[in-house]
Amino acid sequence: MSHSISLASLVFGPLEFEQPLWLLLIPILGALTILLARKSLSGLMSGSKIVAIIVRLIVIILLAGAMAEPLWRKESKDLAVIAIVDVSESIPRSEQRKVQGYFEEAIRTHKQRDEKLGVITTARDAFVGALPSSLLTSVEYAHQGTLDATNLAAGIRLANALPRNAATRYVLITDGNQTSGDIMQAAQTAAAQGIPIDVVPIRFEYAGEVMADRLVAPATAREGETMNVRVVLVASAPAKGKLNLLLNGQPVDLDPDGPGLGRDIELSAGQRVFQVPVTALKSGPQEFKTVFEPETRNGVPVADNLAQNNMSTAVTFVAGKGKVLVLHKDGPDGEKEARELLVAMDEAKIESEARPASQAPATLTEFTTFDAIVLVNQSAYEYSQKQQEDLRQYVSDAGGGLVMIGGDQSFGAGGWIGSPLEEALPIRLDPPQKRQMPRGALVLCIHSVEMPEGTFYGKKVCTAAINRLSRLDLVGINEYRWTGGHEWVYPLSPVGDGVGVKRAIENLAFGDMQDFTPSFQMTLTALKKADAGQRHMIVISDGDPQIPPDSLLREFRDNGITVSTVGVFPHSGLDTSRMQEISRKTGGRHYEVNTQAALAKLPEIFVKEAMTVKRSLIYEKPGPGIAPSLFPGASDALRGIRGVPNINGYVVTAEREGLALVTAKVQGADPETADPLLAQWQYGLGRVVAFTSDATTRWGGQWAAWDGYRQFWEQHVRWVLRPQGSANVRVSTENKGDSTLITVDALDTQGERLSFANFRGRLAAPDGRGSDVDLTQVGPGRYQAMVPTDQSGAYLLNLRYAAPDENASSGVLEGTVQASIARPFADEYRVLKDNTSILQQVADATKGRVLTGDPATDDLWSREKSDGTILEPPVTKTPIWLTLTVLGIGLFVVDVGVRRVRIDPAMIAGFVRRVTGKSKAAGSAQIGSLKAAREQAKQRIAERAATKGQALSSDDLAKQAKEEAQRLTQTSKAKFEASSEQLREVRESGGGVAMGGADAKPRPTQPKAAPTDGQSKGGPGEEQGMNRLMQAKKKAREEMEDQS
Amino acid sequence: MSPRARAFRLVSVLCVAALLTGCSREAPRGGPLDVVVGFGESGNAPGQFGYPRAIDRDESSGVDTIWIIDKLARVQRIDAKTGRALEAWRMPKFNKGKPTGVTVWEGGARRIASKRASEQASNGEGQPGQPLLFVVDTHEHRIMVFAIRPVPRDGETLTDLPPVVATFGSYGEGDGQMVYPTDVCVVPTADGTGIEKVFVTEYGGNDRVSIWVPDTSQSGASVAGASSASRYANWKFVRSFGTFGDSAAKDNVQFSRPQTMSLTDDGSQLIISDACNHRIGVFTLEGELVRWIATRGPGKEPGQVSYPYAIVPLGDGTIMVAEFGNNRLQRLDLATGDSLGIFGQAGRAKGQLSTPWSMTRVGDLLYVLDSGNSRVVALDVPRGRPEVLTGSLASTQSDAKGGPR
Repeated sequence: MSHSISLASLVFGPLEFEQPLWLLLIPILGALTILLARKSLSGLMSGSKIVAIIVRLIVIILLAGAMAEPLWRKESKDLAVIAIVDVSESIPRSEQRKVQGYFEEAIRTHKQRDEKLGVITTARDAFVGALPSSLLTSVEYAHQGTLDATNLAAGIRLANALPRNAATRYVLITDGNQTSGDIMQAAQTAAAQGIPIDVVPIRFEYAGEVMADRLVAPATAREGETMNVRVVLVASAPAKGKLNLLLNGQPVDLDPDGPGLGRDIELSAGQRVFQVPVTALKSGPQEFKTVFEPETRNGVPVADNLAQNNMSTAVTFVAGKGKVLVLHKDGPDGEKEARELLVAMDEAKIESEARPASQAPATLTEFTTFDAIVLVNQSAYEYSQKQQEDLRQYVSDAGGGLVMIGGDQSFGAGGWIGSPLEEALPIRLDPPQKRQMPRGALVLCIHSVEMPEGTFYGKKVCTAAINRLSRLDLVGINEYRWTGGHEWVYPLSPVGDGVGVKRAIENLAFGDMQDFTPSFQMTLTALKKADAGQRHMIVISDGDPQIPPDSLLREFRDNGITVSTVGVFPHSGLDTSRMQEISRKTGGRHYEVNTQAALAKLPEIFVKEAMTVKRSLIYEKPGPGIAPSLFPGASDALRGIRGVPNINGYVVTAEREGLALVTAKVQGADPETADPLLAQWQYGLGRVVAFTSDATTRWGGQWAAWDGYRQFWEQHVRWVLRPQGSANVRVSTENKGDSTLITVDALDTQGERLSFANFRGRLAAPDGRGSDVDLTQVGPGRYQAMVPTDQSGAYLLNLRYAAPDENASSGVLEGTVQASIARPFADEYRVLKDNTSILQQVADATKGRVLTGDPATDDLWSREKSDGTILEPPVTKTPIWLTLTVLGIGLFVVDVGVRRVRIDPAMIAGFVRRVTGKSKAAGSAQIGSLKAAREQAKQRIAERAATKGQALSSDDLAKQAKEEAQRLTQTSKAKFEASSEQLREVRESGGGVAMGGADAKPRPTQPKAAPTDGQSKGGPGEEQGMNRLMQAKKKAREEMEDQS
Repeated sequence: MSPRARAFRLVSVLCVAALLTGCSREAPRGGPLDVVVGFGESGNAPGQFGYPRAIDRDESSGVDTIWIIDKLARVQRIDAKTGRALEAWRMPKFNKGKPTGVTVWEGGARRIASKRASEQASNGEGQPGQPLLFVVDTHEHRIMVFAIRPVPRDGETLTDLPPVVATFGSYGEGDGQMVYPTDVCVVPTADGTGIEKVFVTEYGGNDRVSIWVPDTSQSGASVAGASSASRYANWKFVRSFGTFGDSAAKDNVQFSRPQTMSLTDDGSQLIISDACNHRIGVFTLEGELVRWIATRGPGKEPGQVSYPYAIVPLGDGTIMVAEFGNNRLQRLDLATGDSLGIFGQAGRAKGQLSTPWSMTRVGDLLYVLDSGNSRVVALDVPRGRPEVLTGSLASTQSDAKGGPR
């Protein structure tokens, strides 16, 4: 179909044509048809002619209509109001409560029964509170996102995205203060859809408000240096209160003379700056925080409304000596594991600190205090997801060093497969596919539907567990599906590349399991068959399905299959004890998750449990052990080391492609492949070393006695240590809206401006994400970059630089420098007053109304726009071109029929009567007369024969009777002219119901039906008949040709 | 007329006759339900439901209403014709879990009415008692009995808690205790005007049926607004029958999650759906097993059931079973367990079901709680007795509706 023909669509009642130009074919072809018909249909009777013309016209209308892309329009009569409610924290709580009352009252006073109400809440993001429904009687919103920003545009866009099956208008309730998004742009999209936005401005003004506007501290400092920290407070009215300053969480005494630590201050309207001298006592990043405590009366703050804007932070980097953090397992065994190493570092004069995993740094800032981190036999579940991510970022973005030393709970056997930190390691933790080794089999039984955010966590725990498995391990997931009962979502099979199982996780149906037994039976059957060293099942549930019988659990135990249970918000102690029983009877563990905070730890539980099947990654060889093959000279870290002692065990890993360098290998688990023992690489700004055996007597008994032990570890730790910061480079930052300008001033060793230096920078955002920083030289020794800093919190900037310097010992000047960018509280908390002017613009742009906020007068469910036009109802359009085409083609056949076949209503009526059996005997008058003629002829011949005394055979009798009948028929006044030959012609050509008056019955007149003998063929009578027949046929053909 | 034409006409006539008379009555074999009434949608406004799990009819006020309890612990009284909420309130406690059962005692109103009509009795037979609502507070391990209030004025929705008549049961496995109660079945007195006893089913490892009777010895427990209900203010545990397991032996009655109960049409026997054993039991009112039926489950074939969660006797020796696991209804012969028809199929569309939990009968309509779709659908109570359904459903599952073919 040509698209060059187009015009605005044409609406014609319930029909709409998208290409209405095609409709022009109707008059053109219509006129042509009538014109031609006058000539070509002249042979037809006038009635048939009219019918034929009408049919042709209809065919033309239908086909032209089909070409015009017709749509069937169905308009909705419903009316829906979607309330877009701003729930951000800039609006006072008291005002927010009024909003709910407003809607309840409006529903009572104005809403008709069938009118709908939907609710969208918006703050930083928008959420659907309730889809439009006529049943809502109140507005309840459970907003799930953070409230520290206002994005009104997101609310409107979400409302636009809701399915529309009613005429719709939006009611926007807000103070008009948006901190992100562009409401006017979003309003235009609503206006384009014909949706008016009514606005209900929430008016307020904070009479008194105090903000800790900024906290200014130097980006860098030296240990022992005294810094001037400035606190900038802004007050909208005179206020009193207490100013506090905290350094790394410890209060700084601002009032040395008084008993308290904070200083009592009095503010007048406007800005005031306080300066506090603080001495940097230790190295590393120092985090300052200022908090203003307003004066309270009866527990209520005076002259201050928002608590969120009373706080501000800043970070200063204090350069110091290099320091290493050694993290070991909790308890005396853990300390013992790290002891040899600590002694070695002490001897090597590397300052170190040992901590158990439970006291590991919790923030990136804290990690950055150290120049290297050594993990001694640490498993992933001891670190939260955030800590793991921080550790990765510490290496990649903060340039920190990392040494990961193995043990029975480390690397793959420690659940690090798939963790954020795996990316930073110079080896792959998942052994190669071809490796022949015992594998683990894990089955997950998922019944998480009853817990909060059950589908989210259900998927998350599955992914967490599977990510920790290697590709050879077997995994299976089963659940109760409402469509099919207990089913394998992923039947027990190798993890492989993990794509299949992750797709299966997305297809989890989260049915409400009523009975554990079938799932346990399926699991048992599958795990019994599995070729695996470790076989384990994890069940997550609220514990209320029917528990499996003891006999079944006994079978698990007899087959060495352990079951761990995770009870999430069990209904009662009973559910807990029932799930505990399952794990106890099968030798698994039980976990209890009863709080929202614990929910977030669920994935860690699954990681820990998944490790159960990962024991198979450990290879141990007691006695003399295995001799590692070393590649000395490959790395500076192995300077002077020619060989290393044997080891008694290690965790199987694989080499990583790329820049990673494997400096020692062992031939152990697989006779054909050697596994990495020692590897190193540069990851981002930092360096990483991995050692897959341990540093203790378990696997490294011969190492403790080795005289190269200290040298080995000293060199490796020194290799990863972050280079010291330089006093020659100064970083300053300047906040510019949502971005920050970073300026670096660099000097060489002689104090000259350092040009053409190569800077590699990373910026770590408060949410844990890192980004590259590209510095551009803007002047001699000055470099700048603009980075986005739209989140509140502390950003850490790490720069590593290198520049040619003749005076430097190595000819190259290199070093690192760190700085921080503190973004204070969200802009949401700077708002002191409503901004209703923008709301007026929104209403104007969308033909909406500015409502009063009084539910009695505001008719929310109005069908009128502000300009008096009526709301456009949504129209569902169904394409009907196919129907029209089929009808047109069908009618075309009828058109042919009209011309080829003459329709006699009387005959049709007769036929219908006969078929329905009502008038069995009532044939046409002709048939009656034909029969009568035949009888008459028979009688006459019989009489003749009788008079002649001839005995005629029955055949003869019949033949004569036929001839006589033909004679009689031709002479009788038949209703129409068609002869019996014509009838036969029609019948043979397939015309069952034939020309007027005749039907299938008049066989007696058919020559075919008349039995003839050979003798009669070619007889004179027959010849005559044939001639007549040919003539009649010729005549009929001529007639038909005329008609067409 | 030729013999062929005659034969053709004969066949046509026979077909039409068969169509008109429906002489070969065949049992339905699944396909979408013929929904007569349907209402409800997901949400927490009155008239909306969040995974409703219990339903029972209530005609005590002379209006066809139904009570529905959902997973938001909301109890709603709904106009059975329009779906409008007449009452909507939340259970007083639900932090441990939500109720899963509801049973209405109409105060004998129906029984008295029918007796009066038939006997023209005016010998001072008792007035209808206070209608009661038994809410099975599963995760609070108790049964709460509320007084049913009159239907509110047009357009009004009651949202306050009705008067509490009684609360019985506590957590435990001993006498008078319950782990997870699932249903209450009321056995009326011989004259139909009072409660003789109630059965309470429970699961959770101590799966059994307990018998409780009104304890009239503790008098003086008058309830505000429900004085005639005071005789039901206290309840006494009598005994229990059944243990946890899957035994089918007559002398060892075992259950795995007895989910729901119903009395037979004549009130002489108790029908219990043994959900996790996928079977249905018929018991005497003393708790003696008469027989298990539909014991070949779980499965999809006719006569097999998967998690039978609701039973409604149809008044002709047959029962309708709602199958949570098969997302369908099945009509069974209570005597033989033969399948007499399958109604519904899994899905979200009209006439399809998702995990039906409960069912009740109001007049000639069967109200099914289509839990997974958060709605209620009603269909005509099937009449007449079709032939027994046998064989595989494989070829007919996708068919629209059964019926003459």
